[in-house]
Amino acid sequence: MNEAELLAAEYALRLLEGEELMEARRRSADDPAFPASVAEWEEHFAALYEDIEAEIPAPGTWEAIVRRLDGEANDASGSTVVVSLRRKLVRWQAGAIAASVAAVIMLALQLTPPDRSTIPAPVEKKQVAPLLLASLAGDQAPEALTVAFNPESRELMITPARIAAPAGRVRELWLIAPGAAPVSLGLVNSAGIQRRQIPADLARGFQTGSTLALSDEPTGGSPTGQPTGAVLASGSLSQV
Amino acid sequence: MRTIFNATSPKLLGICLRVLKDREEAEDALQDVFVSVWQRASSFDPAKASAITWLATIARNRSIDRLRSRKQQRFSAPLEDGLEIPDDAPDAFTLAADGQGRQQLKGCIAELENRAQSMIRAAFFDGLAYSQLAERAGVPLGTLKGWMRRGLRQLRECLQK
Repeated sequence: MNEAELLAAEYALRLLEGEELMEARRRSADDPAFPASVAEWEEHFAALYEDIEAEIPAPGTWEAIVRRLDGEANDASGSTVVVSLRRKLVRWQAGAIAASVAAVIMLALQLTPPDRSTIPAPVEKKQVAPLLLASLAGDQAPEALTVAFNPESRELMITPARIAAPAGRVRELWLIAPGAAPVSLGLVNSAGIQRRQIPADLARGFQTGSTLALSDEPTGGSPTGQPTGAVLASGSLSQV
Repeated sequence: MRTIFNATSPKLLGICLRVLKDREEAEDALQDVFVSVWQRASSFDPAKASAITWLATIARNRSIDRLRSRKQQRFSAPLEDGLEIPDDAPDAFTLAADGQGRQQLKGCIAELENRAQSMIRAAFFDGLAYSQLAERAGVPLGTLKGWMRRGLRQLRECLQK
């Protein structure tokens, strides 16, 4: 076993502190093989979870979780449209996990007590125009950002995850409609959810199959109006 | 989402409780886990981890985060506390597991000397970092790291057989 694999085992077990922990985190960001090695150890150690006894959560736990998720979707700063966008995003993410674990859940359901709860679903049922979503990823940025667009209000919501830029460089977002040249959607920072109002002519480019891309640019953004730096992440739009 | 909650929350709460050893805090951690799962659902990659491992790892990590943010850390549980008798009834976790691989890990841990077994279990179940393990064992940090690294190397060798 090499040193990196040993460090991955220590990191997966959460043994590391201080400088060693920083080193592992650095490696996690720089070396794609490292997170894979950590995941492999986690998968090995997962056998030990079998030794842990299940405990029934207190009544009301699910309701408390729903309240917390709703609280986030209803962030005080948001307009009504943004709130509905956020709700959609939350629902979409829930859908992604639900699909991913469906097979496991089918097994689990045979073994857990029947569902006695009568709690309403955490999202409202109100119909809104189909939302377009794109999840942007690249080799160095596995989950760079999520972009949601509401064609009705032409509101764009950007949720960045890992797009930190070095000094002197910025991140610029582009829309590439099928057969068209990239159009800048402006700079994106990693500070939090960002909202843009999109002009009507540009909004037409937001359609299923259009690509969104994030490029590396000098401060102030691309001087040419077209991407000049490396494309760090991209993804295509699809309807929710 | 509620289906997932109903099917997995008892086991995940068990994990939180095992690390935190405090019912109320474990319940809070369980909420963190599901909020976190919801937010990070898009980052789940079935090619890299099974769903159950992903959920359980989030539960363990959120619990350890809480443990380490406590101002006064508690070291109440004895080192051997990691040895528990597994429940006979298979649950979602057991069924979801790749049976052979799981048995291999347990077999390999069982092959380690007792000291290494206890250390790995204490790290895994109680969320103890190197310095805490050294404090419990009453040995210098360097000595403990040496023990653990030797144990992990042996474990790796065994797993590759």
